[in-house]
Amino acid sequence: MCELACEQTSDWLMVDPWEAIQKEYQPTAVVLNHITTSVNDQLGGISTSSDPDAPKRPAQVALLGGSDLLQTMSQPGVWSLEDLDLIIGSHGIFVIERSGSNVSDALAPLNEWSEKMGKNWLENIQVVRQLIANDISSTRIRQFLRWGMSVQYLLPSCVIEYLREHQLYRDPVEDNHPLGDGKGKGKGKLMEGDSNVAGDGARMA
Amino acid sequence: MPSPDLQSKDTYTFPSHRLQQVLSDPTKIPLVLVACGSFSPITHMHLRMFEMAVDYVRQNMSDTYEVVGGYLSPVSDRYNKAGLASATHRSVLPFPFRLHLRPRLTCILQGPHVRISL
Repeated sequence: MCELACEQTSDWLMVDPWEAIQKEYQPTAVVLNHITTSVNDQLGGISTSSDPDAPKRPAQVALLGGSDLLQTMSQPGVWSLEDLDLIIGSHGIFVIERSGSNVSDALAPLNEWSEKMGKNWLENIQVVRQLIANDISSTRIRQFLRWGMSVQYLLPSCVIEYLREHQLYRDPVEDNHPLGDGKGKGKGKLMEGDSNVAGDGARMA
Repeated sequence: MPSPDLQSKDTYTFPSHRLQQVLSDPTKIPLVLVACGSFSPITHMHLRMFEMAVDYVRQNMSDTYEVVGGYLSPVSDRYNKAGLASATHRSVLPFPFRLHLRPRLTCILQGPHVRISL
């Protein structure tokens, strides 16, 4: 689905299936190192001119995620300090602000830990404010699909087509329809919070 | 149902077909953006994160950096998060889809919405 979405809706985004085909969990730091090695060692970096003999420059590979990702990073014990230092200290991170995840609350503990290590992680954290709020969450999309609701215009139509064809996320669950008539067994409630971008702590758990 | 094909470790190659191979400005540091996640399913939000980051770099860091590529890295099935479809479904384009897609893809790439440069 990611590949479909990239190929059909973008002219520059790609899917690297390396992490998905690994038999074991791959920490985010390892994924970033894999892409760094591939771009800079395997491909030799990015050329400074179209002349084939022109010198190449190594690329910086940075992590991109929502502020929910930054929030998991700021929770003690979820990520290892070594990995955080690799990800934030060496690679850098772009954080897209999402509602429900306060960026400044997350920055304080990260700053404290980095100072203890004699580092300054904050200069490598770029906080990107959303000028048009977009909080489409995969968790809600899955609920909508289970409830038989429309997800049109929330995801690329090629992905919706794929979901329909493969009958994905249709398993019945206990939760009730939020637009129901109130005669249902439980309270129709949209789940709050969605970690689209997985923290390694959750993976290690 | 067609059986989707997922690259194996043996057939894996690092995708670079859309990576900008040459800097527009040789004095800049090439920047590659990577989003890791379950993408279950991928939404317009995930895709727009990249566009927002590119705008941010252009507006705030264009003295230093030039974005040359963007990658999504879906997590492995070994990460057993509730509600996750198989990595095959989440990550990769099944083979029959590729054939079916080509003419449409060509239309899209030749259409008026093509971004000429990053």
